Amino acid sequence: MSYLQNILNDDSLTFAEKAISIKNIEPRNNESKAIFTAGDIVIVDVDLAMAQDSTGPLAIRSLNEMGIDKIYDPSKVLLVIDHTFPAADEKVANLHAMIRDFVSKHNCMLVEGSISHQYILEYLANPGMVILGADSHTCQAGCVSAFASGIGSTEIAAVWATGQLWLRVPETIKINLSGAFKKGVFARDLILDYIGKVGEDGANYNALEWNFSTDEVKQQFSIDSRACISNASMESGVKISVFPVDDITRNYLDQNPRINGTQRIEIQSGSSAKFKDEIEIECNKIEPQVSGPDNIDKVHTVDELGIMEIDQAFIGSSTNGRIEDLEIAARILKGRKVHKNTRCVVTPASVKVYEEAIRRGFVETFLESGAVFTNATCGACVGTHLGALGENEICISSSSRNFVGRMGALSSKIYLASPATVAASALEGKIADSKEYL
Amino acid sequence: MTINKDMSPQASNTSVSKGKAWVFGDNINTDIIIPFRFKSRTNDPYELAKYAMYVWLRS
Repeated sequence: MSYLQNILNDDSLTFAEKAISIKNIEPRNNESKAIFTAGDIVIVDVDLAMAQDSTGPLAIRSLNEMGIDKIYDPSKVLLVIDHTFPAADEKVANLHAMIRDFVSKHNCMLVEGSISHQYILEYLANPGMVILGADSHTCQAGCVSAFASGIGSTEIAAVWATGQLWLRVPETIKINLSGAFKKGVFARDLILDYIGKVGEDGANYNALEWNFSTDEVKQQFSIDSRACISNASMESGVKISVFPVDDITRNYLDQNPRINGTQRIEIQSGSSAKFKDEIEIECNKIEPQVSGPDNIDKVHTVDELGIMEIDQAFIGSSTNGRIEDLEIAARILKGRKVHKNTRCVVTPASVKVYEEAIRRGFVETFLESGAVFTNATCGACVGTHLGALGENEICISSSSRNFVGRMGALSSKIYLASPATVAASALEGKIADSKEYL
Repeated sequence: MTINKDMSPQASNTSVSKGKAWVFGDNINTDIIIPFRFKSRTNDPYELAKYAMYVWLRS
């Protein structure tokens, strides 16, 4: 049996242990140890190394300072202009130009106008790949069973130079999902509930492995929903957050073929693998959740929050800007009007989502309701354009983070929730449960 | 910082680095380090430094 198969078939290893072991550079150097377990530090080959429009310029600068003028493999290096696209002002435009110059010189990949994590999911990620990105929510690709994680700008420069990085194998928390979501409850509510319970450091440097107790449970979790969970897991401190490969994964990958010629390596945790913890989440016990303000793990149910009037409602971001999210928002907004005191901004996560939203009539619905539909970008999520907040303004958002001042004024407040809760709130002008609109 | 013995076998040497360490506490996410709207407009470290720990310095 091959070295690779030995590792994949090893019953005692977790996903993370297998994923790192198979990418270990050492066998090429004829070293002895082939199997790595939690706590080990391993140098791995990196299959995809991404930076975005603020970390990219920092990485380019680092590369120059290191005196590196050749990158390891242009087909594995991805630059994405997504956070402030199109450029909001001269300074941003100049940084974008720097990225384009770099791409032109090195002939690596460039994507403009789709959020990095969404583009990676739609076109590049395959199960078993090691995907590193200079952006926090790179872990999203764990939804298709990649070992995907965020790293710093200077680190990604080192990966661009060498094609490798040292990683410590994380311990794994296994999560078993059971039960059916109640009406008005979605994947975002599940992960907000989890983060509220464990805290923002509750899964620090851990791998989360999500599992379904039955086929019926699994059917509730489309790739879009899994992407939301893998993405938002970051807020509990994870290194990676992965779902197993199943028929839903394979269907998605078949319908959205990868364009980078990579192969699938399906990695399954062994039946006798050692987990740091094993927890059960009953989906039927989860209520619509709201996180904030200011802290990601300050989580309440919509009911517990009481009356909270809002100035802005934002549906979008890598966490919840996919077609499934726009579909539920359109369902709630259809034939209704956004509250006169509330701005509702809808920002799709990618060009693909944007086009599909038009095809399915969602955009018409958004415009008729009085919402704004923007191009695909991070946008309001990071407060650079398309929906920043002024002094003391309150926003409910489906985006990833609510730290003080993220969307604008330091006195502004951000509450995070599912797209359904955000849409219902946009109608009522205050934070509201979506149940009655479904 | 000492690199421990779990490091790749070819690196059997250990090394110690000395310098200044700013200790800010736990759970520092990228928003705390610098708000994105500043980070997205320059890659000059001296410009970035003006906005480092922006929120903490103002609260």
